[in-house]
Amino acid sequence: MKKKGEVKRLLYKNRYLYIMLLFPLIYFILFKYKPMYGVLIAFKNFKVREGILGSDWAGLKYFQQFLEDPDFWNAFKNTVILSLWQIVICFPVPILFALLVNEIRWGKMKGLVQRVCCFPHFVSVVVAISLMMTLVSKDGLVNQIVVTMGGTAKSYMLDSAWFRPLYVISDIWQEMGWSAIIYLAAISGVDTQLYEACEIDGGGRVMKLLHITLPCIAATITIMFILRMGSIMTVSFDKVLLMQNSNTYNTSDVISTFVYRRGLQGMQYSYATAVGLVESVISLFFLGITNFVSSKLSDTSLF
Amino acid sequence: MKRKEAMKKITACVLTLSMAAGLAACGAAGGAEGANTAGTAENTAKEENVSADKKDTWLADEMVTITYARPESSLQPYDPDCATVTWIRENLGIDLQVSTYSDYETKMNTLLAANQLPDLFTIWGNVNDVVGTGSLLELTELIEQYAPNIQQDYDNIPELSRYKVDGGIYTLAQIRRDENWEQGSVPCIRTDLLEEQGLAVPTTWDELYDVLDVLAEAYPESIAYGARGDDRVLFNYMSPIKGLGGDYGLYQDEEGVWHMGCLEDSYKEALQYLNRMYEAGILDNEYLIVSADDWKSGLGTGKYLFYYDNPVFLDTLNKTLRETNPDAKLEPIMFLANDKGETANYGHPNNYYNVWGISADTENQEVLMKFVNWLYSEQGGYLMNYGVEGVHWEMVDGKPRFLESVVEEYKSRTGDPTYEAGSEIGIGDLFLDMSWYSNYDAAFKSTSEESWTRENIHKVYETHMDDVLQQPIEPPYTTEESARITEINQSYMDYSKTEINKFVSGERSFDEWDAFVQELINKGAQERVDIANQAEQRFAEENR
Repeated sequence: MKKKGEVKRLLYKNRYLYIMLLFPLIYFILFKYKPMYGVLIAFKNFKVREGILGSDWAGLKYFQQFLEDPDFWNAFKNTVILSLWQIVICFPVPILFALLVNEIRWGKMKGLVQRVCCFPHFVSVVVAISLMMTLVSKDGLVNQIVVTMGGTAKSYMLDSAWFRPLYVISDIWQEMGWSAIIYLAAISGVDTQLYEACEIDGGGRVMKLLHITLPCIAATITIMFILRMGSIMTVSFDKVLLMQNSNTYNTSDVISTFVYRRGLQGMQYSYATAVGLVESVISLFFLGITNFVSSKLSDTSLF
Repeated sequence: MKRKEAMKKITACVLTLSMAAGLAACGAAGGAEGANTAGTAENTAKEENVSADKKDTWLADEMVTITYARPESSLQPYDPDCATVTWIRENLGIDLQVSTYSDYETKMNTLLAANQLPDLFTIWGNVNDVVGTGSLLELTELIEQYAPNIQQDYDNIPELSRYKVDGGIYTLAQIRRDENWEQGSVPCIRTDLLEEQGLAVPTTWDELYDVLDVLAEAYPESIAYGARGDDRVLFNYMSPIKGLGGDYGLYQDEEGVWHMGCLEDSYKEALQYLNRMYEAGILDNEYLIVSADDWKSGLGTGKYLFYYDNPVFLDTLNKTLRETNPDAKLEPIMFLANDKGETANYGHPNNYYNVWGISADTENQEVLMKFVNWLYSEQGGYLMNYGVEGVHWEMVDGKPRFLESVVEEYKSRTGDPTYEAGSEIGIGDLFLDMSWYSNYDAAFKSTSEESWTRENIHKVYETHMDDVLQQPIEPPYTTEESARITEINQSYMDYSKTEINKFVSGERSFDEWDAFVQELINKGAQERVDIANQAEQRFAEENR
């Protein structure tokens, strides 16, 4: 009874925090858990008018279909490659940026750099891609520089080989400053006594960075890495859709755009749901594996 | 401390309220996302007033609301207070609630997937795909029962039966009630620049290449051939491919057998021509990513010197061009002969240019059918093309003619009088004209010889209308065939769109053409042809 009273007291004491928690909770229930019922579509010959339960069962027909579809495997390959590019190139950039910003001694400059680099995060994807398309168009700034330097102008947006570099470069431009915030917060939590001890031992700025700052924010980096691995099959759908054209499908067609085209545009709802379901299962698998490896190697894990 | 506690509470409350407001706003925005919907309290009030004045001409005992969706048009935005919608409400007892969407295809695909289609809507995308979802109302019996005007059209226009699916009528076709003057896409060129360079107007595709090559050289700031997106260059029936002697999609030979154009050498040869243009820098190298608006603006500013597309823009384009260059002339030229000396061009169809569907979930099937039947009547046709008799038009020599005052009123405005009138009166091809008078807007066009009215454009091609071919109409498919077509279409079309652009840009060599064709066949292109021929045979037997 005493315990129950304690819970009540704590609930009342933190009532405003719980009220605020309610909204993300509603969000997750409405937009993440409730739609899970829709995965049934993957196992049915889904007809819109007959509804999910009213449609006939199809078994694993659609799974078999997409596994035999080379277009799916192309989208799968592109998704994984694009994600790996992001993990290898985009993931370390905010960490390096945070470490560099941390080394700026002039407080005002530090703030200014941070603010300027955070700003692109608030630019909508549509605007960011329009900017990029203007910059890299045949008569755009990039080509003008290339021509001035003796090169030949080309349409970068139409070249499938340039899709991934453009995607990654724009991603770094847009997200580097914003993603660095969490690392800067972690760095600011490092005990200053450790730096003083390092200085006494004769350590310079590089030594402090390598032996104090980095190990102290390693846990944050690990958590962020596990979360990133969980979304290995997820790339920015709207960004890819805005950037792609039929000339670049062989590198730009990712699972989400494939599902959109087959499902919503091509009205093959069951097929598209089956692909989406497999995408989620693979993501869950990667999340689990990374979490397991991390817990074994570094004692840091999500669950 | 107390003050601090109070501040905490206030902050928490403000945050909570703002989040709640945010969620509410999201909900509200979701409901009206991208839509221009007429359905306000004002309308409800009107409805109540009108209910009191029920007329004998009403189609039901009470006012019936019918929701209607169509693509948004920047040229002719929908005006909820337009004359025709008001007339329909007052005289037919139909409260037409119109929603227009800018990205119509995506919006309708989403509404379809959510099973929330409006009662009546313009069909989007592939008709068979939409029918295959089972979301369209089967109309055969309803037409027999409530729609004698539509039945009459089916009896008099044999080609309409080709639009059936599994023997059933699922769509409402736009029926042309006047002479077909449409030539489809035509070649249009800057004739002032031809004169400036002492060049003759090209009559063949080879001559066109040479002429554009000279223009590209002479005007390096411009791009000789401008196009909007790949569809209008390579895939669409409105592309120049037919003129070049090929076809992309399904087409019928003289014996009535269906073929897939992109599997044949004639399409390859057309692509080789476009590839030469691309590599020489004559064809815009960025045609794939040029939006329709950018393309039109390019033509109006002199960035592009030639196009093969819709000639109805000519007047507006010339007007813009002449603001900076009074001598500029962008004019239509005769269809170009291919290397076999043949000229051919796909024109717009007589009927079925626009198509409508009715949701299978619509509640007032009987009233809705009576309403669409009325739209196909002579009275309905006149209202939806000319407006209200006596207010906007009068009958002269058995033909409707806009009142002088109406013509003067709209011609005195700064905008395009056709679309200004279309918006305010609620008429024309960009609203709801199931009975189609395609030349309804002639009075709003300039009568000057210089002006490219529909009639003046027609005069250019008048003696060559035999070269204008009707777009092929596929035979009616069964439900199973439609489902299979949906399954294979996306796969081979995605592949062909990617690879064909590579052939044009030179990224892929034409030596690999056979491998490309084989891959298309593997992806179902030949099966698609077989389905069409099987359905054609069945259709022929049924109508023997």
